[in-house]
Amino acid sequence: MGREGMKHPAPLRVLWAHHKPTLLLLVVALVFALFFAARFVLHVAYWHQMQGTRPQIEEWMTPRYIAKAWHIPPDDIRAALHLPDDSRRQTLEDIAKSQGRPVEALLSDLTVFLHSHMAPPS
Amino acid sequence: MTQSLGDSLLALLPDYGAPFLAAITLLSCLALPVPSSLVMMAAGGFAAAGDLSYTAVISAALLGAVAGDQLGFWLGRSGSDILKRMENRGGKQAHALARASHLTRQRGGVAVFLTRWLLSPLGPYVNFAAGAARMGWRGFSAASVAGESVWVVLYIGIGAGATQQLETLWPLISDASGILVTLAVAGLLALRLRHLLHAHKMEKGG
Repeated sequence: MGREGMKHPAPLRVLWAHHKPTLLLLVVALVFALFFAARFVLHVAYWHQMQGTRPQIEEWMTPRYIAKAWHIPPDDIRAALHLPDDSRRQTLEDIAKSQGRPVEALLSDLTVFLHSHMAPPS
Repeated sequence: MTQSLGDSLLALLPDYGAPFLAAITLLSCLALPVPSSLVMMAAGGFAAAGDLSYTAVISAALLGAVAGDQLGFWLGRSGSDILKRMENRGGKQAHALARASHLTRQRGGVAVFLTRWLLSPLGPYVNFAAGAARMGWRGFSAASVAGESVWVVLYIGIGAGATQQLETLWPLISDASGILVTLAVAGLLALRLRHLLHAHKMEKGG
């Protein structure tokens, strides 16, 4: 290395020699940023693919939440689940428990009902 | 069917309502790993569906978050004597520490505001740091309330508008938050390195 190089060593070399932990932390932060960026791209692709399809119903949802999300009158959902009109808010999981049947059965019955109730998504 | 942690938390929301939401936002402000943004979005959905009231959901989330910020701030404040002793010990690192806590007192408000919503995963640590650096309580609280209001209204609003897409939208939001936080940390470290490099050159040159 010539005199010029000795006078002005590369910034990265100086930082590596004197401030290794900070430089390493910066590299770690950038690696994590890349990781999140890659995940973001994958999730955007998944989201794009799901556009126009109906999402699954989940056991934490309530009849009214489903009515809102699937644009179906709440009374129709309640009727399909054999619930009284004045029923308080409860999750599908709780409804299945109080009706003494597995939540999977309730979910699949309700899914069939939702598909039969509405026109296929455009 | 196996239930994820997120799903089991969401199932508790219709059962326990607004107080449960307040507990979740409080815990998340103390750095406990709870998916508070997901729970807030679901709460927005339940409010839109008519299962919970908007007023109850928004005020509970805000109350929990602001209370969590205060707890974190006072926990940090209780450790401020240790920090003060470290600053007074003399030497290069003590000097840097003193400068950092001075900067926090002067301009901590912006950091507190932005780490409530845009960079929310950093929020709890900023609470501890603000307390330890003896940032003024009024300035901290004003920035905390303003930032948490943005956070709460933003996520409850998204949840209310996107009931059908909660499960596909939430991963996008959490990844975007991860990108922002890691880039913010990288930016701060790059600034620090630039400063160190400059100091190194001055030392060599002068």
